[in-house]
Amino acid sequence: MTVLRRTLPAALAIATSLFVLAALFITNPLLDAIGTYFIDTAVIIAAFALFLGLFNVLRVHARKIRERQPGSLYSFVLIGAMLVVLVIGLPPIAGKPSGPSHPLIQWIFHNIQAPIQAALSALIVFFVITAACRLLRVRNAESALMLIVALLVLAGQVTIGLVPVLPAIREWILDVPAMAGVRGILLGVALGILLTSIRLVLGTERPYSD
Amino acid sequence: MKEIGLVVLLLLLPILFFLSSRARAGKAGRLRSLPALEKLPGLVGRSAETGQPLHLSVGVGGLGGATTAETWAGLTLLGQLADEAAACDTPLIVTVADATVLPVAQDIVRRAYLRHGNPDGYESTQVRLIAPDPVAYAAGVMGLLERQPFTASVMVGSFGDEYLLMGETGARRGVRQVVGATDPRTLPLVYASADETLIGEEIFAGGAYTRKLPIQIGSLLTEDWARWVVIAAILVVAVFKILL
Repeated sequence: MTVLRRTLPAALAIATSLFVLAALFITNPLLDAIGTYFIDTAVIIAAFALFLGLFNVLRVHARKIRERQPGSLYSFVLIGAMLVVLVIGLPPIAGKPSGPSHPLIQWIFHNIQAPIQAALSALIVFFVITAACRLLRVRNAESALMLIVALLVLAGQVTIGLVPVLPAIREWILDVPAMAGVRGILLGVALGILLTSIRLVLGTERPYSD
Repeated sequence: MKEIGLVVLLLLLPILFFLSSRARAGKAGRLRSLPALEKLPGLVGRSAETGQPLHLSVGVGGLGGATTAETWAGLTLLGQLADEAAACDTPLIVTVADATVLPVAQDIVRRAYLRHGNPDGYESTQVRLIAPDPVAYAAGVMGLLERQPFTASVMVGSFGDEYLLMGETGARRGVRQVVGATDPRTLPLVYASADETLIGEEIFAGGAYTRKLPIQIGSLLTEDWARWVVIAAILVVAVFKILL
């Protein structure tokens, strides 16, 4: 039982990941074919996760409606919209576009979903302003430094040629310390990703077994 | 480029094994302080006291794509928080944006409750798929944070600009927020709205601080060693460029 629950899944996962990794580094037709097969299989299995997601959304929102939780009206709208889109898009029509290409689905995307998403994205601007106000309250030495740098960059942006040195300071801040910081973060992230991947390939972290 | 990748991988492997064995022998030394990770157990305790749930987001990424490692970092923290939440019988609500993360997150939470002898404490609706689109996901989490009182919100994973919709809502509602992200464009937004931050590669250190497994500590130390090697290489190249 322990072999089935612990050893077998771990052995399968390690062997599969080693094959895919080997296919990436070694040019061999057989290894390439095996690597591609495993990746394709993973894509197909991942597609089934969408069904689990669909049932999860239905369960969560059906429960909200059943228990009349706050915002259950939105859950009702969500389930209704989901069923409408499914009913329109699912049946295949001979010789006509169906699924996401169905004209009605296209209309829903262009006239309902896209404008709502655009409106939400536009909201981010106002949230940036409130976040900036919060950020500019001096809490500690880091906040104070950030405030000074932010003011210098802003002043360099809007100086309109009145103080010629400010745009040069702004350029220097963005090109030297800011760029160095970003590159440092990216290098650290790359190393973190690499070592996390090694741990996963070695099977030392296994979400699929106890 | 593939050859360079292979060389880096082959160089890192023995260092990882060496440092992991040192960690196993208790010779790893002290890990540098990361307040965000050190405060996580306190959040679960506070949640148990108030009876209000804890929210955890593993970002807008999925498993199997370019954001797998970031998502995995979030799932590692989920494992730890789910264990503590199951032990204290604290409600935990997990939101995900990608369907591939859903079964993994559900399994992590379910097994945490099983380990603590409370299988009935787990409900599959504790882990919720909100929406695959990042902005729609952020809007869904915004709604959740607006309507339900939370003690704290832990968000670790891959986030873009849309993070601010959730972060600002949490900050406005007085929810204690611990946030970790890797995208340099998102980090200022995180710094502005969160109480505790995990910047860049710090999100991958979660396992070493919370579970303290030798391989995770070894991995963190290998990362630090590799960083020093990169810094030294940059300095050497810079000096050569100046001199020649």
